[in-house]
Amino acid sequence: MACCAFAVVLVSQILAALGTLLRFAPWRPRGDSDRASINPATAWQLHSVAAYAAVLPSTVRPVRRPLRAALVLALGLELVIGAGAAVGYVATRGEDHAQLAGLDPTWFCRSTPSARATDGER
Amino acid sequence: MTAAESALLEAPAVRRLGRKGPVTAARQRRSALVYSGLCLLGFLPVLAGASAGWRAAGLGLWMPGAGFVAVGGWAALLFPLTLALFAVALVAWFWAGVIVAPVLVWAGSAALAGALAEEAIWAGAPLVVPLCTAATFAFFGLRADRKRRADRVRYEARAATLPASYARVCALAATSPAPGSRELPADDVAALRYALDRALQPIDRWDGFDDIDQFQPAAFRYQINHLGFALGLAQCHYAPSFQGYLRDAQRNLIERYLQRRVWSYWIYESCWGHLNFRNFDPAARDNIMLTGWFGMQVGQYMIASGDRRYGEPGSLTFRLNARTAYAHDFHTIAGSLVQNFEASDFCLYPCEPNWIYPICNHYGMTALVAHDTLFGTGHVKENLPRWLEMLDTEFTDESGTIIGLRSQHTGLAVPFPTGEVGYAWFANCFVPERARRLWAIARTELQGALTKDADGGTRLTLPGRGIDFGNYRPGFTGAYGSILLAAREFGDDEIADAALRSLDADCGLATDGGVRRYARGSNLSNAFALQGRLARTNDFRRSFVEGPPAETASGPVLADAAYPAVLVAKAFSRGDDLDLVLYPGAGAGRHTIGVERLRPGRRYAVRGALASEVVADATGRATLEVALEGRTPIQLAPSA
Repeated sequence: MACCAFAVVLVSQILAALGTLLRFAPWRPRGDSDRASINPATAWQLHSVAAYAAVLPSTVRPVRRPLRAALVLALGLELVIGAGAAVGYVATRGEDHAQLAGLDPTWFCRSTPSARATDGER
Repeated sequence: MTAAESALLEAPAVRRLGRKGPVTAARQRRSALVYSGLCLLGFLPVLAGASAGWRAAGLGLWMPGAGFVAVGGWAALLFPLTLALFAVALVAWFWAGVIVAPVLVWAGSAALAGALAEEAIWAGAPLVVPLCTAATFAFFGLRADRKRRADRVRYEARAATLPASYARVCALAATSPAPGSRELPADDVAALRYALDRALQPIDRWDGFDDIDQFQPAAFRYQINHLGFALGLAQCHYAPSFQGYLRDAQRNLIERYLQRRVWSYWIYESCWGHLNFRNFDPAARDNIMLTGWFGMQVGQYMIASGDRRYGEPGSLTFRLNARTAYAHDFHTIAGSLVQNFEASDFCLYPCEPNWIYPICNHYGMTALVAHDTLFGTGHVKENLPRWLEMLDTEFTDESGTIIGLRSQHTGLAVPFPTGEVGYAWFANCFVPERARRLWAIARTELQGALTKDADGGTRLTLPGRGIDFGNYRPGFTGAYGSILLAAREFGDDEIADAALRSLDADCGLATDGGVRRYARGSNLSNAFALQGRLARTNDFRRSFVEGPPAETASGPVLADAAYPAVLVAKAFSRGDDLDLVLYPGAGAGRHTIGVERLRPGRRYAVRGALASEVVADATGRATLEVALEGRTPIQLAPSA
């Protein structure tokens, strides 16, 4: 389970980075980039809120939310993994040589009934 | 050409022998030693016949994720994934100073590989991992070698054209506009409103700003700084005798900067970059991206406006919470710059923990210029010689270009897009000869980008799609704006006009409600473009080293004018008089303006207002009724 989560974290972060890089990819359709390059923030005026609202597409601000959510999720998963690793280390510290660095691979990678039983016996 | 100038032109020859600076070389040797030790340590379990877990973990120290190769099977797929994650972690380190990120990924992947190993490791791993490592070093070594060769060729090309180009720049930059001789044309008044609108809103609102992240160039702090620089140029060179909303706008920007939302990035960077969880003072260790930039802004405001309030203790207080505040003023900001310059082996010092950006250090030195101008200190004289020596020896490549970014801890340089254009106008504030050399190189290399548009006008055509650092989107607004400002600073009207033409053609020029802007640019790039529009020869330099003429500090001032009803294109006093040029910002009509610092009880002749004469009250104040319709010049002078 933990290594699956680790892989998810890896993939999600790489995809997030790739998504950012793709914004600058030369093969992106021109029209799309032209629309994207209009910056509604520049239209805001101190004494004319209406003019600003008129040019502000409803999708402008929420666009960033999925990316932020993905990053928060990735960070959360990393914290869970880190906490799990720490708990695993503390729980198995001093045990035999096969449980290297306090992380038993059977507990760590295969969430089988037998592995859970092994955990339960500790 | 003087001997000093000749030496200056030949300076890069000293560096083109491929020698690294001594500090860089020492840091790189140390990094190599640490890495070699790590590899040796990692290979010991293999040599000692330790358990599979230890051997996998040990090989994981050679490269991020290499331990998964030793685990074998499907786990080997985690090797390239970990390498990719390591690249992401490096970006996080560079982006936000997260120094722990690459360490965690590397050490964590080694530990995980150790945990995943079963009875034995893959037999080929002890050979494949070192081979992968060697291949990686060979790849980067060859790439660096290719760059060095290209740099030498570039240096030769530059050396051939530099003397003539330098002479041309010296001629162009020789004459600056006389103080009081200029007014903003109507288009520039409309452009200035872009900055005024943003600056005059309540400081806890961020309308019209790009809100993306608070770590890198799109951060609020940089938008604030450059809007401030634009307003400072307007104050210094066009309206030194206008207080009113122009001063309010600049002070609002400074107060806005002190809000925790703007500088709280330093709380995080202190934790994950310095491992400091207690003291988040943003003007203490490192963080020249704050002290340098903000110091410049505050200093320029004080010079241009004559307002000295930010020299008072606690006037620039960064409040963390109800209990903790970091009290600063312009002196402590400058003090932080000096202390960090002195403490750093490189002299230049980091923005984010570990990352030294020479461009931010140019801002820092310019902030010291402003402090010296204001308070007669000798910070620049004391620090500049070592600073320049280190810039030359540690931060200049073999083509003579300043390296964009160097790691303080490892000594490694990282590609970062900066060039002669971006440095030139800062350097003009403290080393004008070098600045001219930078612009001489830049203007020569820009010649290839000068093309004709459909109307036969000269414009700039830059390769690729560009990038706007203010919102990380494709676009050239920032690049054109920066070129425009640099060209204006050196009186290079041919390139300045080409940059302006390109801005207007490519960047979504729009004028709505009397406000001129570039719709395809970020807020930051709009601020750059505005600076470029306002500046003329040596204006940026003079706003830090000279300020407005002394007479403007004592003569009459326009103190009250309603915004945006009364727009000020010029406000200049020669001691006794006041010369104004006003425009209506909300339609033609009558308005009242207030004038101060007149001689109490004195009678003044007025031209351009409804009354032809006004008498100052006992406090030296007077009000004038003016009818604004288009460009409206108004003059006050003591009656004979």
